[in-house]
Amino acid sequence: MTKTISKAIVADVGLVERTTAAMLKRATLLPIGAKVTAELGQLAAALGVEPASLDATLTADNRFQREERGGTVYFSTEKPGRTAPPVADWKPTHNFASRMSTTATDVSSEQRQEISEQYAARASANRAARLRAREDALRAEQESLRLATAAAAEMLAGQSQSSGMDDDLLGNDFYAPSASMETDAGDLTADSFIPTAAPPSLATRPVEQASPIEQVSPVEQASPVEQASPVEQASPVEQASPIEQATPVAPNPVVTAPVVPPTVPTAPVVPLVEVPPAPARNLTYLLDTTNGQQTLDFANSADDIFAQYGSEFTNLLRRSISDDFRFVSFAGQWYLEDMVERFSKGDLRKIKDYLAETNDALSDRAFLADLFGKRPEQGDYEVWRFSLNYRLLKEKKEFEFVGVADERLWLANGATLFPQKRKASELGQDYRFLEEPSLSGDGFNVVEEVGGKQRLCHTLTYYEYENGLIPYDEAAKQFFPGPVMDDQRAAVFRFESPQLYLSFLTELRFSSGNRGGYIVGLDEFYQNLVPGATFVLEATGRANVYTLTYERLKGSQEERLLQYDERRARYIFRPVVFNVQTDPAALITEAKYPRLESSHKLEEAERKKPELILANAFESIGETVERDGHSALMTLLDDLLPVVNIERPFSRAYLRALMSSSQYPAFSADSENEGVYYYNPGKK
Amino acid sequence: MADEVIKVKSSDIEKLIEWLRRGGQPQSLEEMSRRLVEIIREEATSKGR
Repeated sequence: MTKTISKAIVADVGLVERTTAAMLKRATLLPIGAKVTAELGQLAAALGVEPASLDATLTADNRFQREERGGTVYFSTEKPGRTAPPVADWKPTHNFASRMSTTATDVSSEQRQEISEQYAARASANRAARLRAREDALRAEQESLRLATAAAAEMLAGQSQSSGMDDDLLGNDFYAPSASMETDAGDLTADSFIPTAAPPSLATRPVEQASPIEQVSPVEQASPVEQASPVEQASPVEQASPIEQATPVAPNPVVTAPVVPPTVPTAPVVPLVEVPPAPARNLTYLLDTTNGQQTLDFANSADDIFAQYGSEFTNLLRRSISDDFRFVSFAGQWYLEDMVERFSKGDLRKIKDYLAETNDALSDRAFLADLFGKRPEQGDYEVWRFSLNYRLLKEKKEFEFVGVADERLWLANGATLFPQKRKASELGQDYRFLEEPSLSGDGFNVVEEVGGKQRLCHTLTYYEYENGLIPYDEAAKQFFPGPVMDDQRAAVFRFESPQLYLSFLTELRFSSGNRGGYIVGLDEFYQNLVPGATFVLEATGRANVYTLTYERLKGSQEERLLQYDERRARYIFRPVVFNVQTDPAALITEAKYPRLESSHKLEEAERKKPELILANAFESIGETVERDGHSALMTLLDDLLPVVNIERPFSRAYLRALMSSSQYPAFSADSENEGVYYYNPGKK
Repeated sequence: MADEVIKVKSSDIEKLIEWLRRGGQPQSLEEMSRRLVEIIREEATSKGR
């Protein structure tokens, strides 16, 4: 029985604690001691007990108060917690008295009140005394002024009473501080920080107005003596401090001095000496030019000087600033290093990812717009553009500049835009002869000028057709922009063919060292042409965009043209229908070159030797003749040119030079018939 | 007195730097050369170089 009762008590105790915990959850934001109220039904539901048993348990516990409102039972309790006991005996230990004065005695509030009243009364008395003294001083000043005015008037009226006036005047020391001033000074040291208001009639009265000497005496004003008197200029009446202004001012004793005729200072007479005119400044300078030193006259305008010697000044400036670390340059533009925008590694990574994602040559404008949110309308756009290009140029391992002067394109370093049948190095070696100007000319490119615009006319060779190339010969160098950077490898252009609705990228690989230059990427366009076709390139308004056009024939033309059969690994003639303008001399037709049928490609080692290609071409198209008692093969240069260009590029000049060279005695030119050449295999 | 040979002085470069700084834009070498001519001419005509 005892055990059952104790279990019930334990259960009740647990229920009370759970109820308290549940009610306190609602009282998180309430202060300690606040009343927390909950409805019995909600509590019972939350705790999972019968409302009746909970009611009985909580009613029995004196920590809960039971209320019944509108038939609903509520229980309330106080939020428990420990509060700090109120402090009854607190004494300030860090007050003004303890910090500022260790000898200060503590005073009661009544004593403090009494001290304050005494201090206020003393201050008021001091203020009244000071005002009285000031009034006395001003009154004395008025009196002395009145006397002085009267004395001056008497004296000027011719009444010679100087002795009496002198006594009056000399009796006062006008420059000695008055007793009232001393009193004021003494007051100021004790009570100068209490602002005082002087009587309005006195305070607003200017001291200068009180001085009648200069105002009322027209004679004195007219007197040059007084105007020139240094004593009066030094008069403290006008220059004194505010305290000195309160000093009684008496008539100036200078007025008693004997009148001295005015002495007008006259300038010493300087004999007129004719000043020699300044020598004319020499405005002619010498300027170092490529033609020796030239005389330059700065009397001319800057525009005229620049028009005449602009290039010399440009060279002069370039030499001066190229090694100056304060200047930086990119693509012909110069700026200050400390004004260049900075780019983080993260910024460069974004650019690299963008290039990898597009696998294309992208412009600086694209980076600025897409990655940095910069627009050309913004004032700092050109600075950002310059800074970006300057920064990318420094990251040579990551980025490669492939732009032209104003179209700044970038490629990810090592990216290949145009997969080639031949290696870039092989192509460069094939075009090596283009680096020799005498051999580069007279090729397949011709620059024409039509309507003030340049255009490049080109006749397509078999080698170019197969590799999608245009040689970068002298004519092309004249037509296309050169490299912007000294070490620039390539420039990417966009060629547009309006006739084919085709737009594609090409890459101009500049010549370097012993490798010639060429333009690559025309494979797709050439699929619409045949070797021997002619087409025209024209520049557009954008520096890196060109238009490709070719002349279409009215009717289609069918020829059996040379093609390489990959399966049979030999050249064959196939019928081809085409309607593009061609150079008949450059077409390799079966009718003209029947012996090329079933010919093989040269081995790579053979292909590298131009004389072998020449010999092979002679054997394919040459006509056997007798020359100098020996059998020889004869052909025309015009016939030979398309054939040698099957395996390797040759310009007309290069071919001519090869066959005239003493290095290759097997080849010779006909001395009587221009353009006729012989090959004597026995002279190898 | 023989004519003086024109050389770019450090004060000319300082003026060019100030001009670039005030402009707030990159400039071509040609534009900078034009400005250099103006700077040299101003100095020659005002007080001599």
